Amino acid sequence: MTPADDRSDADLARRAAAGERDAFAAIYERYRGVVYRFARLMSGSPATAEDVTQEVFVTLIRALPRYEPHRAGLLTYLYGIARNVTRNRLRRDRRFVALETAVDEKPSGADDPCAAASHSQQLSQLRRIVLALPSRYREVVILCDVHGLSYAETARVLHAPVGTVRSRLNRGRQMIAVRVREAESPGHACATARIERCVI
Amino acid sequence: MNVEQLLRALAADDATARVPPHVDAAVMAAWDENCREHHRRAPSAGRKRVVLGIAMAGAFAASLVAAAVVITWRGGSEARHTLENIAPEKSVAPEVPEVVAGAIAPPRGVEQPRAPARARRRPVPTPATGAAYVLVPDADLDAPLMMMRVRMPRSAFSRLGVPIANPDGDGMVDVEMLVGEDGVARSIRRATAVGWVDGNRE
Repeated sequence: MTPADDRSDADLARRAAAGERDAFAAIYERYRGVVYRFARLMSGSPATAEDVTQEVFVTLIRALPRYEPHRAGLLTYLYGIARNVTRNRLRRDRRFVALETAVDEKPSGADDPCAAASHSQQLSQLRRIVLALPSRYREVVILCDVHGLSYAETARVLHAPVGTVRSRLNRGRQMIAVRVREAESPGHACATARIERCVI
Repeated sequence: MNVEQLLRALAADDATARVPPHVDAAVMAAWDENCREHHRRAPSAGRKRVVLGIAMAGAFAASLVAAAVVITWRGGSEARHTLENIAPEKSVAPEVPEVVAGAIAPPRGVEQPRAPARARRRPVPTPATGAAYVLVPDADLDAPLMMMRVRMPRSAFSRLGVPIANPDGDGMVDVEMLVGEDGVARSIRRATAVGWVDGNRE
């Protein structure tokens, strides 16, 4: 694997489809973090994110001969695969709650509501809130606000109109704001305990 | 801290996440395995091409045989419908003499166009019984023919060179024509009563 590669995605994809291992390694190195972080935020579980990352790139290996760069950028294409794989995985595992999540939600001294002002606790709380959003809002919030994709790019990933992306993002932000306010209110301990991962 | 600031902080924190090394190893192992499988499939792809080539050659040969069969069949079919193979019918007009192709003398004073050489070379054989057809000038006898029964003025029929009683009289005569696929009449004769479905004649 080369540490940095300035070749274009289309060139790398063409070479990888022709069987060049270095080209595929460059693609993997360029986008593995994006895919992993997206899956981690969507699932709330590092273990699931690892599995999803692996499955996404295995799918890419098989799909490379059919990949057409002029139809979608490689990052958009990978986001689309990651979204589908993550949704399938969450649907399949909806009866299970990741061990890490259960541990996080367990009342402890570190998760004391009185120490909510700390930065790490705020982030932990925000992760749980994002995880509790319905997936159609969660994926838009993650893509636009966390990963910094534009409305148009997000629309291409989700195969949805830009207007739909905007409305879902607005709705998702409103839901987050409401839940953050609820968490900061005096009786927020009970509210926090109710937050679960939304798999819909 | 508002929602946007919180999400920005979450993005910054999320950017520090790293993919575990065992995932890297698993993905690259999947790549290597896929390449090995691809190489294993390569010879079978060659065999597929050979089989496809044989199949295409077989299909080509079958199409040639089918074309030959169709040409042979069509040739036989056309031969059945040529002028020579149409059986003449016996005329019911006793006053009309038997006519033979090429043996009709044109009426006096009427300039008859000369038949083409090929028509002259292939006269219609005269049957032992029944009325023969009279060749129409410039007739192409090689084309498939069909017989039409029509009714035409007696004078018009006479002008074609067919001997008929009272050629200048009024009235209609029933005739049979051999017409080519191009709509051009090849030959003509007086119709017989056999098979003529008409309220006035039967």
